[in-house]
Amino acid sequence: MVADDDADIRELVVFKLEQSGHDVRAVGDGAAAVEACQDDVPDLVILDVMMPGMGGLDACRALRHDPRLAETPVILLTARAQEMDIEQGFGAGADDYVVKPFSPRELSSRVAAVLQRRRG
Amino acid sequence: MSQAVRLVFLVLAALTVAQVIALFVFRLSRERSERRDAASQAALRAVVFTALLGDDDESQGARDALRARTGRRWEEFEEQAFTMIPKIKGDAREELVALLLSRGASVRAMTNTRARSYVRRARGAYQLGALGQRDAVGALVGLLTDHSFLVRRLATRALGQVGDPTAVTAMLDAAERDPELTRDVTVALIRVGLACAPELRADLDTSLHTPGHRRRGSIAARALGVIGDVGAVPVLKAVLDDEDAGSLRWAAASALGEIGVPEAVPVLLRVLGEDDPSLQVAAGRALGAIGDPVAVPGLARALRDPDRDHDSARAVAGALRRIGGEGLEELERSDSVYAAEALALQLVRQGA
Repeated sequence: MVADDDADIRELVVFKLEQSGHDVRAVGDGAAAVEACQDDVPDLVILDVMMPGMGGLDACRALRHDPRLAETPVILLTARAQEMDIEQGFGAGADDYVVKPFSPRELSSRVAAVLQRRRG
Repeated sequence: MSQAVRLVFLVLAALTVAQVIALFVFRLSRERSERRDAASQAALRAVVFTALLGDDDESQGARDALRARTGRRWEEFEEQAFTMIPKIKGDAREELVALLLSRGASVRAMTNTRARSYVRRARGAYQLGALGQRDAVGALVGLLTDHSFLVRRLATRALGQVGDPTAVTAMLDAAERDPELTRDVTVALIRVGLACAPELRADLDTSLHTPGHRRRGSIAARALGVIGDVGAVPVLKAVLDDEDAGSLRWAAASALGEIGVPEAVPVLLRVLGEDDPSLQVAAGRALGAIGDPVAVPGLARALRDPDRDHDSARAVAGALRRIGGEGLEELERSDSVYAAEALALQLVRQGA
């Protein structure tokens, strides 16, 4: 599941992850991401931090409060790389974060690493 | 009702119906056009992503298809590419820039910077920044004196993206002339990074001895701090030692905190005892950022000072909290309300 209000980034992430063999669903805001995850639990969620309406941090907290989604890995995409912002992201329950601008290849590697970690 | 009134009523009713129909048709055609644009954008994006990230053969084919575009179709791609560049990095970004350069985007951007329209000049500056070519530095430096603020701002940002340290002095000159550019210049210098540290140190040293250069000196000091240039510590300490350096000392204290070297602790503790509340706040925060327990006795003395103002006492208590260990013990022994506030914050952070 990918949630980003920027169509360029959203589609780029979808393209790269599909190329790596994943089935990807994409939405434009946090509320839609939470709803879609509740309908069909994904293997991993990528959330942009700054989105209109419900942002990535709130969406991440909402996922963590849902018993079915509490263990679903979350990667945050953020333009804010300050220590405080990263701390906030982990505080909200994220497993990893990728700073924008990002390398599609690096994002794909992070996704693989987080999925592998969760599968143990 | 007379015949004339009835006629007027009918005409007005007909006009209203016509307006509603026209509005409906207009909306329908706008929605169609937006859908067409979105579909065309999505198709173009797919080709661009294949060119950047596809398998070798696929990718080469897509790159050739993009290069073969002409006229309006090439312009559409160029627009899309310039929108994408700031959002990505790594191989994909380099590939996109190479595609644009192969079709003369740099020359067109340069031409834009010389246009009569300030919008086109601003666009040219943006494009040169996105392409990140060092041969654009001269043109971008020229735009720092443009009469349009938008152009000056985009040229400053572009210089940060190009990352050539030879533009440091010109950027600081621009901030000196135009206070509204202060933040953009600082961010651009930070973006250039350690490569511009020697120029910044030299400029800071000159600013220290040149009355009226406080703003550019402060920008240089802040940038050196965020860049984390350990080589700047001697000049930053010299600024703090100079009691006539005014507001430049606040920036120097903050920068020493950002760099985080313990050797700055003695000079920061000394200025913490001076009468300037802004300097006390900057020194207190810097001591907290450095986090060296050697500073605890000096900070504890400062916390007991009854003449210390609100912000300064809060910065001192915050520094003891950040140092942790002995700093926290000192806060627990203190009866200051600022110590209690810092301890409460510590509990919140531990619970988070």
